[in-house]
Order: sequence, then structure tokens, then C-alpha cells
Amino acid sequence: MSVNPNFDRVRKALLLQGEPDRVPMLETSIDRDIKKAVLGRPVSTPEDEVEFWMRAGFDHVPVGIGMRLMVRTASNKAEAAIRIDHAEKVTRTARAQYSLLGDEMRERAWAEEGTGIIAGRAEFESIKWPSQEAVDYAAIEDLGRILPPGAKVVASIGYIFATVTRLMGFQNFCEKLIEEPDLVARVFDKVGQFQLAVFEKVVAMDAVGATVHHDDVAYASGPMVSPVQLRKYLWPWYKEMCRISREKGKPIVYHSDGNVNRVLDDIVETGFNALNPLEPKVMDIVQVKRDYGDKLALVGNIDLVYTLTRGTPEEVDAEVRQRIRELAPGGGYVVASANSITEYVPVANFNAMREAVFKYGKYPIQV
Amino acid sequence: MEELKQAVIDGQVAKARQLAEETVSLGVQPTVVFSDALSPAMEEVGRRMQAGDYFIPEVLVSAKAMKAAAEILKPLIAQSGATRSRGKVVMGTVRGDLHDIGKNLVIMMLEGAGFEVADLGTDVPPERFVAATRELRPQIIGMSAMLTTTMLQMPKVVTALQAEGLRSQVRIMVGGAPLNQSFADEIGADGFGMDSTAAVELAKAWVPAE
Repeated sequence: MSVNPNFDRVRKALLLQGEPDRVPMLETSIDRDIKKAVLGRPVSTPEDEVEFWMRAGFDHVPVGIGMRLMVRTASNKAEAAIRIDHAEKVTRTARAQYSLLGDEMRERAWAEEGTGIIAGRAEFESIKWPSQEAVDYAAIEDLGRILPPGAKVVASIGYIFATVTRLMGFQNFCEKLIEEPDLVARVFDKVGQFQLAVFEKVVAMDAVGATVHHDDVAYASGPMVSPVQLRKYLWPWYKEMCRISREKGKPIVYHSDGNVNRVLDDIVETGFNALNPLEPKVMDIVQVKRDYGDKLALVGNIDLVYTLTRGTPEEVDAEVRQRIRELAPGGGYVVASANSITEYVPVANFNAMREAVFKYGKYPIQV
Repeated sequence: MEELKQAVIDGQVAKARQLAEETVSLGVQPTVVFSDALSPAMEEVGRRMQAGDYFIPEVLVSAKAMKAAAEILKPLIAQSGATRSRGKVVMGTVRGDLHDIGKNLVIMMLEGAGFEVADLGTDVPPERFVAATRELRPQIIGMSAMLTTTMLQMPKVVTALQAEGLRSQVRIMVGGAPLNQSFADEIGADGFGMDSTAAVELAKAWVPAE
């Protein structure tokens, strides 16, 4: 357990600056029940949040900010503050037994896939966009005051493609992409400008050590839309963020689920330092390391479909050990789940993952 | 006909509708327009998607053009009393899961291949799959799930069909991001489709054209 957080090890790994003292870990979302189990009490204050992440052995505390919160269900005040009118129509809820651990029925919100709140030009013109003033940076500022020395905030921004597709509805977005590309371009501009402005403020904050940009563009089969379209509408926004990150010397991580092999060159070209989460079902991380290891740090790949969810702690231990052996020598690898630590990850498996990092992750790697 | 096929491949909705009208007004049998222009067009769209040249937007717009043309043909086919359907498929996304697009793509491609598809929508409980099987007597049931947790609803549907004595009457295909062939085997499904084209191939193999 890292009682002395040291974000430098995360930074060094993400920026491909050789071997840090230990393989770092990076998660941006851990289910509240798992936090509660590790901490022995519910996480309800920023202090609890810090205590959980530090006690679990991380060198950072994640914070989500920007438009991503607007198109998700609000779970706290900061999120509620920047929701836009009718944002509730962006998601639909369903009830089901989502946990593998109990019979409890839970409600979850899912993106509306048909037509969102921007069906066409008229809705785009009339929508009331949130102002920059609605973005609340207090969560990051608060953490800056209470984080122990050595620890940093990792801010999640991203959500450009995700916000555009959610506001328009994915199916409608797809049709408009071909039938009304100028409308799509205008929605991207609106969202991109907003997120870029948030990013500029966030990356300048001392407490922030790195940013992660969650913005899924791929399915298991490959990109959701043509890489040509992504080059036109999406990557330019991130290119600007990457440029600013370089100036600040802060790592910038891109996160997309699915099979992103066909856009790996674009991700490198955009200027991202690292890629997350490399879903093992569709991304051969060893191959990516071989082909892109000198350009991209890799974060993730601990399997969520089987190992972390349905496997045993021994299987988790073996998988983390194998990943460290294959990927950590020379640096550039950060252990993380292949998405996030969800409510259906048994606590024992989450613990086995971190303990394996402490056990096998010390440099020089000897496993 | 060649022009109509191309309009569907290119996703030109208005043009496809217009060409379908023109073609039947020239006296071409609507079933022939379907089999010689629309179905091959959707097959080509599927090929392009598998080859990585087409993505969901292109496929959706092609499917929209196909549907526009099919709207012209359907009433004429019904009037003539000819049956066009190759077979019947019941499709749905399983309980707790609201993911719609993957399932819709499979439906569009199945319709393109001449299947009649009953769409049960999303968040479909096992009993609705059972009721639809009893009522509509499909040859095939297709289930979709996008999540590692909701995919575990799939064996419940298989079990429910078994319990009702309906399992032997249908073939079951499953698909969705977290699935693979071994999961399909494990839960006793008859087939797994990695993508919509693969799903249509399965359906065609199970229900050969007459």
C-alpha cells in the first residue's frame, strides 16, 4: 500500500520517460460500494474520497468535469449545475439486476440512441447552451487543498464525440453526418469550444497532474464512424488540447472503448501521450506495445469481461503479473481495468489487482 | 435496376424511391425489383462494412434508401398475393439493456435479405420472447446485449423457451459487443454473429431460399 503517494511515477510512465520506481495504477471510476468496502464506511466527503484513493494505493484522485456531466445523470451538485434544459431526454433509465453479486435491482441511465434533443437545425438554433460560468471547478480546488503531498488530481474531460452524439441521438447523428454535414460540424464546434475552454482552465490548475479524455469512438468491430470523419470533426479539438498539455508538461490520456486499431495512427498524430483502456477482447496490447510502444504509453487491459468480474482473485493476480512482465519493462505501462471498476467487480478481485501491482510492479521488473 | 441498386448502396433516399417507382411502372415485377436490386444492394453494403469501407452512418443511410424503395414495392407485392418473406425472425435486446442500434442494423440487413422481422425493441424480458415465439412462430430468435451483465439475461430466455417446450421449434442467434462464440455455445444458443453481416449469413444458412 502506498502511504506516500507519488504522482511522478504516473507522470513518468505516461510521458514515456523510462522506468519509474513502481508500475503505477490509474482508474477514473470506481463504484461507490467498492470504495465503501475498502474504506469501511461510505465515501461521502472529499476527505473520504482522498482517503479511499490513497489507502487503495493510487497516486491520484479522479474528478470528472465539463460537458460529460451534462449528458449523464447528475449524482452531485456540481454535476446538476451544468445540466442543460431537457437533458433528461438524453438518457433513458432501465431497471435490472446489474450486479453479479446480489439480486438487487438497480436503475441505470443509458444514452438515448434514436433522436436526441437536437433533431435538426431548428433545435440546434433554439437550444440553450450552458455558459462557461456554470462549470464548477470547486471540486478540483477543494481536492488541491486536502491532497497529501505527492498526490495529484486526474481530471476527466473528453466527451466531445460523446456529447455530440448524445445530444443528436446516435442514429440521427449518423444520418445527419451524411445528409447534413454542416449541421454536424456546427454541433461539434459548439461542444468542442466548450470543452477546450474547460480544459484550458483545468490543465492550468496546480492540483491537476494529468487529464484523461473519455470519448468512445469504437465498437468491438472497429470505429463507429469513418476515420476520415473523425479526422475532420473530432481530432482537431484534441490536437489543440495536446498542444497545450505539451506546453504545460502534463500528460494527456485518450480513452476509447472498443477496437481502435484503425485510428491508432490518428491518436498518435493528435499528440496524446497515452491510450486507455485497451479492451483485451479486441485490442492485443502486446502487439500495440510492439508497434506503438515508443509513441504511446498504455493504460489498462485488465479484463473486465471475465477476469475482474467472474474470475477468482488468483486469476486476477496471474493476469496482472503477466501484463507487468510483458509490458512494464522500460516503462510506459500503467495497470488499470479495461474500463472502470464497476459495481459487478467483486471487492476481492479489485484488491487482488492492486496487491499484484505492489507485489510484481517494483522496478526493475523481476517476474 | 442497376441504377436503383447503386442508389441504395450510395444511400440516396429520394433517388431510390423514385427509381423503384419508375421500375415497377415499366412493368417489372416488384418481387424481382426486390431480389435483383434491393437484396444485392444490401449484400454489397454488408460486404463493404465487413471490409471496413462502410461504417454505421453509411449503412444506416443505405438502409433508409432500401426502406424507401421497399415502401413502394410492399403494397404491390401484397396486392399480387405473392409471398416475399424468406422466413420470420423475432429480434430483441434483452432485459436491462437499452442498446438499440446493433439490433436495428441486424434487422435492416435481415430485411434486406428478404426476412420478415418482428422487433420486440429493447429491455425485453424472457416472457416476451416466449410469447412472441408462441404467437408469431418464427424460425429464428435473435437476442442482443451490449453489456457483460445484461448478456447473462440470454440464458434465461433459452431456459424459458425450453420450459415452454418451444426451444426445438426455433434457432437462436445472439450478438453484441461483449459476446463471443464460446459464450453462445455455453448458453445453448445455435449461433453467434460478430456483426450484422455474420448474423445475416447465419440466418440464410438456417433458412435457405426456396
